[in-house]
Amino acid sequence: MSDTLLEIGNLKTYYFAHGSVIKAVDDVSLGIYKREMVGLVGESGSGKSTLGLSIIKLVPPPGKIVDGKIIIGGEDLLKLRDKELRRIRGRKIGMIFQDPLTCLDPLRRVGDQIIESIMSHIKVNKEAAREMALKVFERVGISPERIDDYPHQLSGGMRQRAMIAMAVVLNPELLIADEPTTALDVVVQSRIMDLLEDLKNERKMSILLITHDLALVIERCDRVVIMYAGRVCEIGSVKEVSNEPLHPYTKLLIESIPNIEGTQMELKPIPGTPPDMRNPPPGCRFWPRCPYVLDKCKSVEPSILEIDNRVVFCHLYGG
Amino acid sequence: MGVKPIVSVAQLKKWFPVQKSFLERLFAREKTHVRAVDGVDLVVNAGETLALVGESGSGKTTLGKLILRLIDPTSGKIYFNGKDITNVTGESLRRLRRRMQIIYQDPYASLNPRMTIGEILEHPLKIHKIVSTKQEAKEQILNVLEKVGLTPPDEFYNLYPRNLSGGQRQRVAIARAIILKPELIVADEPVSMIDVSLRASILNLMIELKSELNLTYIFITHDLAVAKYIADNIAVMYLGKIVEKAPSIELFTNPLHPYTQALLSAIPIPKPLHERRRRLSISGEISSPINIPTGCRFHPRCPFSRERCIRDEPSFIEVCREHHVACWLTTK
Repeated sequence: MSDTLLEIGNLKTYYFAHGSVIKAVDDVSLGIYKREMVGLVGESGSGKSTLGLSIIKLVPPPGKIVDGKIIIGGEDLLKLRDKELRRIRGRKIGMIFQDPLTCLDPLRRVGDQIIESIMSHIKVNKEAAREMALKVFERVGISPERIDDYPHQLSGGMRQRAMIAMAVVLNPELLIADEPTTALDVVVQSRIMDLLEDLKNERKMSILLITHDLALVIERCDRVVIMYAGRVCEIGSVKEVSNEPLHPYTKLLIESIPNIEGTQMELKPIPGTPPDMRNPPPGCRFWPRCPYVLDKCKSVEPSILEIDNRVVFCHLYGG
Repeated sequence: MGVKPIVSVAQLKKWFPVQKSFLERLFAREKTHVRAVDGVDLVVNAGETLALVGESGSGKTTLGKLILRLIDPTSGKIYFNGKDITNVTGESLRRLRRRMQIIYQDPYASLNPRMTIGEILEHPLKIHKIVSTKQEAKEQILNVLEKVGLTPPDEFYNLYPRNLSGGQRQRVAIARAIILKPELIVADEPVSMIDVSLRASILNLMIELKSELNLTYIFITHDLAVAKYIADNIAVMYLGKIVEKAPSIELFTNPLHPYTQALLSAIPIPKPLHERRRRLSISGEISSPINIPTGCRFHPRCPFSRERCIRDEPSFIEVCREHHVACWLTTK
């Protein structure tokens, strides 16, 4: 495939709270290629959002990146100082969240917020910044006269568009989208996804789509990363993973989601519950719920296995 | 098997007045309202699962609460087993409540954190004076815990909600709803806050309980894939009205209302979309329920909107067996 844009190597992000350590992201490695949309799929507590925040080094305390590397354009983000990081955020990496109201200031006009963010990153005067803001507003499908509206005057879908505008106005190479459509209705969701896809193609950027919605990822992304309890289970093209999932968790997840196509007679629930992250099971973290569990799974962590362009962490394959 | 309606509503409306400032109240001639439910006719047959689907703001939750008499309608009628319950109050309302229960969306908010699971489930038994002794209550509670898959039941009896996972809490909420042996359960988005890997098990539990206890479900959801899985019939709501209602398979194979068609084509399918199916893309977002558009309330977003749609409101009619739709395209 094409060249790598961002590489995450053995990343560990832990939360230290009340004397216990929650290993939210535990030894995760993955690459994001140029111009692709990668879906990062996991349930709540799988560490997917923490991974997203780690990439722009915005993990809230008591979380801390303990170890690993995040390389973009030859630089390791984890070695940069705050001032240098600001150069990366916004200009190289943009991020959008599930709830636009958490990142838009309710007391300021949306236009002003975009203008401020432009001016804090590049040297332009206010008129030029406003010009840029108007342009990007138009591109994301908000009529330019709404630029002087306050966030509460915009509808849910429009707020999400405003946040996307703010994130892409400086043409980042990577857009991290954390559950960007979860709070939206399905019709609006589909149009926001269309917009993200178009922006990806015309601006030649990559998108990391973080979501719990596997169906959405299979439909829209090029590749998928499946996470469970802080670890990666499986990485591969959406076509291969959906046609022939390797990891039992992926397999069960696909069988357990309702599908509107075809006649699905019965959903097969995944047995058990996700682990308590303060005290995850030893060995493979999925073994207590896995129907194919081997003795080895209960004590030995599966190591990475690469098959063609796919990656899987499971004792069922090899060894 | 004869079909007998358990719930029917006629021209049901719920308008919430909009709060205004003092001056506006002084000078405004008309009161403005959020027309959450705006003229719904609906029949739910005993033993069926009816899914109410729609976007946020379509009025589906309000309709569910009206049917349960948790809120009072502005106008219209509600019948339960043929009896008019629109204005039932006091003791007879309390007796009615025993026969219709609700499961809420958020099992973190719907269970009292200071009560044990045993106490939570004892409450309805006490209120409805179903048991006379504590021992009898405990027996029933253990029995119902077992039914919803919280085993061993005596272990769960003494736990607090905080000791349980989201999926287990929702099972407690289900237990609380079925412990009174109701006939009707309104389930308001019961799986949308549950972890993806646990959703299927909750849905399957609800399906099992339904046939075991002869329940009727009104299942409120925004997720059409879930609706297809669980429901016999699906009613699609838009801005306070039902725009289409049909047996589930019929709705998916032959959607008639442009809004239903758009909804269906927007649902992600777990299949790569390189061979993309045609989407019916509609513009804009749901209008404000304060200023409902004239004529067909969907016309501002409808790609097939004609003059008549702007002027006259289409009525909700049966176009083929069991398939009702309110659209000028299908009614000539």
